[in-house]
Amino acid sequence: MTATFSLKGMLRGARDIAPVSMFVVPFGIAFGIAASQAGLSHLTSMLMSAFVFAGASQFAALPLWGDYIPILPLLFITFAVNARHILMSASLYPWMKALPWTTKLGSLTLLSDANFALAMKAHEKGEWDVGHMFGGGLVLWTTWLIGTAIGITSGEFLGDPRALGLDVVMITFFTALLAGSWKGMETLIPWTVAGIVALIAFYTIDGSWYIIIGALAGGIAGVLRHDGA
Amino acid sequence: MTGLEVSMGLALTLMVAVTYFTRISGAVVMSFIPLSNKVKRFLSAISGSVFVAIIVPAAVEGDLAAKAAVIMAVVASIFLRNAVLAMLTGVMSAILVRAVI
Repeated sequence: MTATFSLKGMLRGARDIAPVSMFVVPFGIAFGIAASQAGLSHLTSMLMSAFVFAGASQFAALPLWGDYIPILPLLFITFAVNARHILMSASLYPWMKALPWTTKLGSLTLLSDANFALAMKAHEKGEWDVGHMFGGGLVLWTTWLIGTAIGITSGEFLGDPRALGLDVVMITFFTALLAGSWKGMETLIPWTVAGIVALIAFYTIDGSWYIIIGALAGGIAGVLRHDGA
Repeated sequence: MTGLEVSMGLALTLMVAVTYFTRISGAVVMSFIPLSNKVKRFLSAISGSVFVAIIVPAAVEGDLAAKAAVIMAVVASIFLRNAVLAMLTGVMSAILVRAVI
């Protein structure tokens, strides 16, 4: 079998992702609200959702946002939060191999967790059309933009963000993500290292460097742990 | 520790570029050589670690509502198996704590 890319495949992907995509709208609304509260203009928020299209990293970037933005922390955090895309992209390669590079690189613009997971599941059951991943991605992209748009328009009318728990939206979402990806020792060790190092760095170094240092420490611990075992 | 600061437009552009890079680099690299196990482990570990590095100081420094939100998000994840619902549980816990205290 060889890879194809067609409208029919895209429709199958869109169909398969429909139930999941419902949850993207409230998440998008949460981002839109958080972005407004963080001082982003409507245009910036929409552009970010449209072209970054990566909710977790968008949330993570908000605390850094202002008229002048520390670029190294921003780019590192964006990279680290989105690093899992690299693994997903690598996993897709064997399937996509036969497609021309323009199609490969074009379809990967909409790579995200949910459409990747559903496409791989479909692939295991015989789906060879990469449109499945892209079609699912289009649905996610649309719902993400709709959610963001609703969030930014309602953000102005809400009262005290703290009373509505808006300041904790980001950390609760990340916590939920982490809890869902728990894998016992494999995650316990890097995460414990990351948490401790980040905390120490938080109290000793200014700015958002603690995130970078904590994440790197966790990454290194993840590599070393296996070597030491 | 200070560093280079840039305007919003440039920051957003670079953020888009980095994100797109993460989306395509896996496939591009794989077309030359398979990702080594070390690299895969590093990327996998850093993905979770960056969230931990963000959450832990925020929860330690945060008020009771923030701590409650994180704890309840973990508890809800165990029972609900859905990230968005677990998040909502955490946020509602924060709202509750702030309303009561």
